[in-house]
Amino acid sequence: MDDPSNSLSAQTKINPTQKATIMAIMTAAAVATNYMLIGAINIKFMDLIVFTTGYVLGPLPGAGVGAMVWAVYGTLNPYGFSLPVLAATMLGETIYGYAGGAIRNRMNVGMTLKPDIRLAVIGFMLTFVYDLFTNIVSAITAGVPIMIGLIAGVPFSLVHEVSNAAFFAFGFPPLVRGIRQVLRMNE
Amino acid sequence: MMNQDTYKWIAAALFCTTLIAGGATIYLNNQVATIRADYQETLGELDMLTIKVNIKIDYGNETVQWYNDTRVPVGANLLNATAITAELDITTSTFGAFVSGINGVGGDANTWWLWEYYEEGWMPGMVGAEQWVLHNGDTVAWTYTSFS
Repeated sequence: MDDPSNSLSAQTKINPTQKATIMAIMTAAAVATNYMLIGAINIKFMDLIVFTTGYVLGPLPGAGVGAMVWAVYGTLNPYGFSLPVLAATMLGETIYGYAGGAIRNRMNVGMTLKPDIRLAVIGFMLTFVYDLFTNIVSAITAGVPIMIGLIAGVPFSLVHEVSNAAFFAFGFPPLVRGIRQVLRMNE
Repeated sequence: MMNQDTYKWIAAALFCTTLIAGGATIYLNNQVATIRADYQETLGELDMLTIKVNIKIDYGNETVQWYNDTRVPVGANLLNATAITAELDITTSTFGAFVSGINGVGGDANTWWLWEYYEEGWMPGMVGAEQWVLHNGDTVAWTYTSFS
């Protein structure tokens, strides 16, 4: 386990205004990149952004950003609107924020820009849980047997999980480092 | 020397690859089962539209080809069925179609392609090939026969 004193929260004191600003910016970034990548099914930066928010601000703000992103993206979505699926995705997305907050004092990340295999594993596992949960809800909503829904969703889930593993491993360290530097500039 | 944490992360990474492989296996297995079921259903539908016949082609030089379980449309005649399995040279006259060559073999003096059907032994065809309607399971033969 890494030294908690090296973590972002220990190094940088974040005031409520900064916290609200970061939450707003991260939500906007996640929503914007979601629409930008609308054609790339299940390849999104959103999960990384929500996870990073949790890591920087803590579990609850992270979960809040996850729910807010889906509240917008799930409502104004060209693939259609479904209230049960929206509720499931909003709830499911919060696990990225919670997980980011949960590891903030356990893992020291972002000191270098090097990709981190541990983050790939975390990204993959979180996405697996998220996909499992949302696929079950989607299957129930669509009225198809859960196993059929899960099996039919395998290719999409794999794309989601593998892409997230890569995004977390390569994207998280520079993202955290960048946020850390911005916060330090405002101290 | 790797510490315990490193082993844990390696194990977690391997677990991820297991999940990928497991998911892909279940999906592909399901795809195969679906395709197999579709194939069987299509075969069933095909059985309603086609019949299976056995066609023998004897070139008269000890070369014999069998086309067993050849699918032909319901109501197909011997000429149509043979044309599905082999290249035919056909001469058409007022008496009907006459097979003068099969797969490039034919045209020799006093040598003809004759056909037979099997019914407790080989029986010579008494009508033109295009007038002999085939039924499921029929066995027919073309033999290049010399009369010299």
